[in-house]
Amino acid sequence: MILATEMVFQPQVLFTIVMAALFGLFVGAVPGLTATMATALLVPVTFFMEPVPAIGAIVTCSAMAIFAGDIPGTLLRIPGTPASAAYTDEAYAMTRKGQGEVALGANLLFSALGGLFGTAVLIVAAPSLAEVALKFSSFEYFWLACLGLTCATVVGTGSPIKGLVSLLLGLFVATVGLNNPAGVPRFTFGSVDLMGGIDFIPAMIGLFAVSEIFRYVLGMSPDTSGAQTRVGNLFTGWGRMMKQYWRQSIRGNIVGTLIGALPGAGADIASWVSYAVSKRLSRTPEKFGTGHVEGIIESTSSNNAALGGAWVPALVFGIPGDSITAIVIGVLYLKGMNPGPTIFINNPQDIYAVFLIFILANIFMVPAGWAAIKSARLLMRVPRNVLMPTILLFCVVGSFAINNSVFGITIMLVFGLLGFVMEENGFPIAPTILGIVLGPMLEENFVTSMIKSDGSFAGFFERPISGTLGVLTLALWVVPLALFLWRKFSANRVSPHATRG
Amino acid sequence: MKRRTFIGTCATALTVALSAGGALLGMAAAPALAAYPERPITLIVPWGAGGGTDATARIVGSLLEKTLGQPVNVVNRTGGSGVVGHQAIASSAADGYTLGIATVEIGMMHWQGLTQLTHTDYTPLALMNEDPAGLQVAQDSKFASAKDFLEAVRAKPGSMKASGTGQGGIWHLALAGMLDEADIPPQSVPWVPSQGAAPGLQDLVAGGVQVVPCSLPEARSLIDAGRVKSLAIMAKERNPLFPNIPTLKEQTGIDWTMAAWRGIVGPKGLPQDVSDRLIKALKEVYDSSDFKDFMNQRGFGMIYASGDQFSNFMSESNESLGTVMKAVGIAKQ
Amino acid sequence: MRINDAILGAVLLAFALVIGLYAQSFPAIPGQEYGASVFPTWIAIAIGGCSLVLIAGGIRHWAETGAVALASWARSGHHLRALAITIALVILYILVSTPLGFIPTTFITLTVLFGILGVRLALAPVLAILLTMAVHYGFYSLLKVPLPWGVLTPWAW
Repeated sequence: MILATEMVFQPQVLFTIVMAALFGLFVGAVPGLTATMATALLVPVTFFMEPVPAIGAIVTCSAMAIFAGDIPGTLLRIPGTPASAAYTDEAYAMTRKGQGEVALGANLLFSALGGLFGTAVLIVAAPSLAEVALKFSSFEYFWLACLGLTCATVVGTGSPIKGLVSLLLGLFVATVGLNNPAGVPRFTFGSVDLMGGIDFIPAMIGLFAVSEIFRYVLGMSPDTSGAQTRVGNLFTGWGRMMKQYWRQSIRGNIVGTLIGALPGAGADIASWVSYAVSKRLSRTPEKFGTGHVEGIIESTSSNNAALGGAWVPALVFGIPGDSITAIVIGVLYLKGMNPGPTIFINNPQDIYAVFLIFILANIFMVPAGWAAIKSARLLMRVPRNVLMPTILLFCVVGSFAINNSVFGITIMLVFGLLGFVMEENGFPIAPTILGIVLGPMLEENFVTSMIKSDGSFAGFFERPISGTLGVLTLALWVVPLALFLWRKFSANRVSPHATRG
Repeated sequence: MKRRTFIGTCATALTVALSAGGALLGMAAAPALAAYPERPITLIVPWGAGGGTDATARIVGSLLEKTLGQPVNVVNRTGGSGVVGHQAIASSAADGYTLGIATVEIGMMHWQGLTQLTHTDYTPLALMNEDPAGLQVAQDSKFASAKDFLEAVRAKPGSMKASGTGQGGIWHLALAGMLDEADIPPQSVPWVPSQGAAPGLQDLVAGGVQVVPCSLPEARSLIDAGRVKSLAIMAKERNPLFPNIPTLKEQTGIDWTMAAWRGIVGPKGLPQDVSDRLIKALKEVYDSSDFKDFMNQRGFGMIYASGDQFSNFMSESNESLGTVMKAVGIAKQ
Repeated sequence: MRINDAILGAVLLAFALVIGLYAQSFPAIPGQEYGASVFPTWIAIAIGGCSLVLIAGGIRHWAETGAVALASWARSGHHLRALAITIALVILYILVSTPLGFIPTTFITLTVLFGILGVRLALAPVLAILLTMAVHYGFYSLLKVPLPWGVLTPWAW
């Protein structure tokens, strides 16, 4: 432990961490650049570094990026990273009500707390939690994907049928390409680029950022540059929020860490699930969507907690918890810190140094995030006719960098137009993103489960965890429907005219 | 008023720019025949950042940079089970400034009818790595040897499932070829497709599948963790890093080998002087202790072949893969 | 621009039919009972179902909303032209950035975009070149993103 402290508190290491923090904040705050991309871009940079600063850079950068994704989401209604997409509308609604600083303050505080919680779990419970995560087979993942889809219906506002169409479009987009259990090309029309499938990051950039740019060009963006750029005191109401919403924060932390620890599900999904949970369990669900901080607190806690959680299976078994740790594992091998239980025995000082960096990064997030929000405020004073083209440039470069190909920019443009048309006609765009993320998980786990069980559906209920999840999912689907029908039925009996209109 | 004319001007300018762009297309390809290399080289990787191919490319790239005295930029072009990246290598300019790392999949995807590309669309430079398939089962599995496993399959076909790559991926073929060689129908062990070795191994530990025929470096962290054991490797010789794991032939007498390989290639028609220069540089890289240390530390197998030898190697790999794929029914007729 | 749900529903229904029928051409996979066509077919059926609901709702409200409710921008030639140019610029970028190179393409694109959004004519190219070079430095030099050089290849650094 002392050795680890010495390893971390070196000017060179601390410098790397600070630089990585600034990089992460920048990447997260700029629409078009995401946390996963930032990690991938750091691989060549960390190639020649010592192990501790190399890993430290990735840890710090990803934590900052996930938080900073909230900033443009709140101020411009363009989420900086997919993990912020679930509550972008909510946070922007707060900005329009003049409560932008409350939303951003909440994001900062609860992101840092969530990150610390995830880290604490990683330090204390990594081996035993990884044990649980390893028990998950395709049967369990199938139910998780179903639960995830349920979130779309809870989160979406407005017409449920349009939300469903949006989700289905996302699921369809996910089927394009070669990356399916059968390994055959689908909807590729002979294009090699389409064989690679439609990456959800350029799609997200298009749906959220590019469609917003189109709206601006058409003179449709409400001008929030005047009164709303006053961010005011970020620390407003921290004490009150802690007191009022400590349950939401803890629930978000736990859900986030658990989802993060499951291989294949990361901060993006965690944030959706937490927002949905928050709305379902809230005493005032009707306030959701109108600029209410409760759901933001829960899911912003959750997405940062998921980052720590994702390291659990990555460190203990070399199995990635999310797309960021998938890259991290490669870097760990590269640095001779081979993941596995032995990592805690062979090089404990290295691993403690990584933990220490996790803690430092999340503490450093508060002042650095404060500075980032303040400078974002300055940026908001930049005339929109300069800011919007700049954002478009970052979107283009970001879509290119995802696979170093202009095809990413094509995806971005197509989804920009699609997003614009959808929003114009009252189709929510967030469920499309959820569909693209969950589509492969749903299909792959269904098909592989059916192969394993030789075509019998019983497999989905035979295993204890799978059975529990299955019953839970079905209950979530059936109970509200039954309640709805029952209410309608009884209302009809009491006053047959009341339900009309 | 003023603004309106400006938009008009812009529209005109745009048209001009478009046609200018077209005209410049030709200029960009102007060859420069000074001493190669005189500007940065791009090395395309058909697989994602952080994976084994990516790591191999990065170490080769960094050492090549020292040898050639020009930056070597590693670029990931992923997707479509490697088709996208392999296509990008093949269709780049044959000037020696774009190279790539080809993988075993180049001998597989054309059989499936996914692409027209074969190994003949490249200038072979140097084969750098080969990792044979292993036969991994869960630590608590009742099998103690590959022989036990094969007998169990023969006795009760379909009772065991395997995973570790997508449908028709390299490890799927390794297993199917082994069964075929042992005169067991390849469909006797149904294949559960997965997104690579890690999720397949996780499913092995979770009890979802019973065998994962991936390479040893991929299974290493779980072997070290005491969760997974390797019964045999499908290679001619034992792996020096895992001397206790016998070869398939030692255990069962079945002479079946299958390995994933990685080698540096250029697009077809690289000028002779350029490919000579690159082969010389890659040999230096291969012989360097930096490369050897790196590969040993990751547990990656090393093998070298250049030029025609490498070409023959790819051709043999291509044929043997084709045979298995036809046997399993994956190849497109 | 709000289009009546019935029209959107009809478009979605056509889309669902196309993907549903096209999915039937996917090959069966030996050993997989649920092959490549299963999920696309389910999705197509679900989209088709939703589209019917939309069509029914749209027809019911047809009298109130009409076929298309035009937004204010749709009647403004200036705004429409600005949108068309923005889209054209992105397409231009996709087509020529590789042969022409990142620096010239981005410079042209940004200058024009600044221009149509009303940035002063003298300022637009200056801002464009500053931004282009800043982004190029950050992504190409620091982060090793292989932004294309195009015609500037002989002077690449």
